[in-house]
Amino acid sequence: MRSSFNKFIASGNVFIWGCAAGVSVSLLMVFGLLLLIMINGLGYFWVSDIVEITLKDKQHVIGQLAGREIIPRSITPDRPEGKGRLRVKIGNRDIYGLDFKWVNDDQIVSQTSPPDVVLLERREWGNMYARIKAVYKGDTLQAEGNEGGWVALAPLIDTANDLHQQIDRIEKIEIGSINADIEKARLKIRALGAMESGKIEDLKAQIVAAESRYQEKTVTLEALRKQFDEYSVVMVDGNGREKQIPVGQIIRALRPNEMGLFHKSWVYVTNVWDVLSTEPREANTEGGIFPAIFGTVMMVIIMSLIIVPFGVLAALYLREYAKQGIMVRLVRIAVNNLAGVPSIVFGVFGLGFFIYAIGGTLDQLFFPERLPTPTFGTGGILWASLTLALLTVPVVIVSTEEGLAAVPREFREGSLALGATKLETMLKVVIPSALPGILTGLILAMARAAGEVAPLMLTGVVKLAPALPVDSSWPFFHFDRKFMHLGFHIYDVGFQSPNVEAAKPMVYITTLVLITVVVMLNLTAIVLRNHLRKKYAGSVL
Amino acid sequence: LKLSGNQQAICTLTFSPKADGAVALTDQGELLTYSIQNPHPETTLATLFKPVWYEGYEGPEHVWQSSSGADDFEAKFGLVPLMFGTLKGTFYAMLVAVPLALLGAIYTSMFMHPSLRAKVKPTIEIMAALPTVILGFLAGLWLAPMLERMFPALIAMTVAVPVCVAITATLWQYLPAIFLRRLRPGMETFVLIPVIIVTVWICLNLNLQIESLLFGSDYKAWFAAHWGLKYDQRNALVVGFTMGFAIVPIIFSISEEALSNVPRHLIAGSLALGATRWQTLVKLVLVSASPGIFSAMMIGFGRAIGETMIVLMATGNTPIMDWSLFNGFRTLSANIAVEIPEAPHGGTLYRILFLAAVLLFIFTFLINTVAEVIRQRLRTKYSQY
Repeated sequence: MRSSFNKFIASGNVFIWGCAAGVSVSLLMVFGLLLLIMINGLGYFWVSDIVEITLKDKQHVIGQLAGREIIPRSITPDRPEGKGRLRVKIGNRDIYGLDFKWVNDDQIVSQTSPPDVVLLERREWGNMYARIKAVYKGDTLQAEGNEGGWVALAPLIDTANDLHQQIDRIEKIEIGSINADIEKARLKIRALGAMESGKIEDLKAQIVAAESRYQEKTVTLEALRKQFDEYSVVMVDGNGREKQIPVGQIIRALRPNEMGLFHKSWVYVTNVWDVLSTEPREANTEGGIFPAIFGTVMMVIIMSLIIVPFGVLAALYLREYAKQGIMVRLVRIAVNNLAGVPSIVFGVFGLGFFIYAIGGTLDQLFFPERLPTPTFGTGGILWASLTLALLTVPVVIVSTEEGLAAVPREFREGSLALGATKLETMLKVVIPSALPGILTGLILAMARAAGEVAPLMLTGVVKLAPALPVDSSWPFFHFDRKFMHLGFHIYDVGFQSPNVEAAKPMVYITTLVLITVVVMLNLTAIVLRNHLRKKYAGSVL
Repeated sequence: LKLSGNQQAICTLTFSPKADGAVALTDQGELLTYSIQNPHPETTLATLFKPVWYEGYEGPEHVWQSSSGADDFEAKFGLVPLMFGTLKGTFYAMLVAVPLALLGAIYTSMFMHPSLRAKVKPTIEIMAALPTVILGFLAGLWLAPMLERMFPALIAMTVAVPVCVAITATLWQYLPAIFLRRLRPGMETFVLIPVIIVTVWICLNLNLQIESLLFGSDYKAWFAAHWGLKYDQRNALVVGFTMGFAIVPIIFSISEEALSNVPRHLIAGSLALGATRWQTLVKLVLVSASPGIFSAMMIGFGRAIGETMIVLMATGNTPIMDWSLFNGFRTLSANIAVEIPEAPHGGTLYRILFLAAVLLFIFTFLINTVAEVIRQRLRTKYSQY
């Protein structure tokens, strides 16, 4: 027995198992992380049942269950299993001030899930869990009681949502364009100076006209707002506290305990769509992430337009034209090094060079009338894209070179032997064959750029952008605008919001979206690269 | 600095409080004023890198305190606490990453079936593509609170997981040989995955029992009483794990490549001479691949030094100098991210932050160049065979 044990140690098998444990732990960490994000992110869209808990002190708690734990330091020798407590999302932030409440197990008398409790999704103050007491139009009673109110409320919410859309459109698009006109005219007056009084009079007339149009719009807005706030509903919580809410504040009313599996699934799908397509509310902790998705995609596209020509040309030169000597070796090392430089350093470079040096100069040359308000002399989507382009161009160069190296010599020789010039060979034979390599590089660069945050924080990302970088007012693409970004959204919502606990689901969802994009891009790159390798593996004769 | 007294002798001279001007009285009773161009009066290389005796302090100290609410505040720009923080974070990250990545690389390159390897390697490399902001967020909002509760379980895990792996390895050899022969090389990984999961799960569940066993009732109180350590929720431990996680794939990937490029006939020769797999690995493969492994570690080190989002989100960003595992720190990179958006363009703080970026750049550039040169040399060496 003893000798066989010694032999076992000498064979080193136990150490080999130790090495295997290294792989196992790494794999577990990858899948654990993905699983954690998926469970937390996807769970948010599911409307779970509302429970009503009666406590020993006759108080009622209504809310959604959000977890259970053993109270720290509750384990004593006579009670080895410890005491438990429930975490309940009680909502009603405007009444209670808190979103979550701990309920100790030993306080609970009974726990039910009454079918008549209503979940109100609101534009402000988060969810409300309560029963309906009455619905009012102005001061006149429209419907009374939980059932009557529920029936009366549904059509009102639909109208309110329509009105909200109208108001939003007038505020954002129509008044926005009037403001843009006024601003443009004002800047023109500043640029002209006092010399051309005739033109200035014209412009001033324009401003007056625009202002009167603005007045008209405000009147319509007033009317709509009045209609919007006409109806209100009085809700009553588990302990009989009442709260009056204008119907305009309500986005949706649900009774989760009454809903079947099919209905819940449908709500789940609409929830997913809402998050992907709407704008954030409540300091980004609720609502959707559409502007962040849009900003990320837009930035990555601008960056791709820059890096592909530069990266491919550089790689072509290095691999096909340059004489392989000490110089090219140095360039290669430099390119590899560039990929290893911390991203924050690129951010600092972008801030100092692009924003202050180039942007500041551009402002003085082309937008002097707007100074001291900077146009390009502050962070914006163009500068962020350029900074990320510097960061990711090595990826494209390395990958394109790899692709070029995989194209067999016979291809080039055959083409040249048939009388094609070197340029023709490049354009018609070599580059098309190396296309998977170029694409791999581009995709990897996009994945890297989509997830990078540190340089963006210095070069133009903001927590809430008033307008998208693309819109309907001329010149449609606003490269000077600041933008929102998924990665920064995670940082901002998770770490700089006043109510981190309530914001957590939003962070997980944003993370889920970002991670899906990045992993998908990377998997595509891997598949492409394998394809490239296989394609030419057999052709070397 | 030379002030000319208008061809008269200066008898009294005082500088203005910000050292950007001076007033002089000549012996003929004439009052002269000078304006001196001195935009950064209080900052020299010595104040940045050496301890400075600030007002109200008991002695010279390294301090970074760039701003405060009050106007009469004296800005304290000592870069040493930040450099210390950078090294501290990197050190703990390497402590987690190097063993994990090297063990994984050795196993994947030497003992795994090629078809399995083709799947495992990209999976681990995908970790490198995960945005660090995600890791940072998980570290700050998920891992940090959990570690605070589960710290005793973590200590138990560091002992229990290796022990369970060793037990599994020992028991495995008693399985019938017919069964063992059917398995492809590389199955150890998949045998161990459930073993590790169960071990970790048991440790987590026994957390409170372990705590009362090891530390009485409260581990924080125990550490405070015995070692004088204070436990902050966002600390070096959290960063070590998360940043370690972030650099595992880099070290793994590069050292795996170095190990697989060791010429196969050398290995075959060693095995033919009667060495066991383990002896071949230690005496031959590791020795010949060591420059590659070294360069992998350098590149991982460089990556950890410049990492921003993880340290920004998972440390308290407190610029203190303390090696303790349980408190936070502030790194050069996080400091830039925190302060440069509010630093006035061209001011002292702005320029010091640029200097910090330059330091980071030079450091990573040197490390990466050395690593790259080593790798290229290794490649030419192997291509001779």
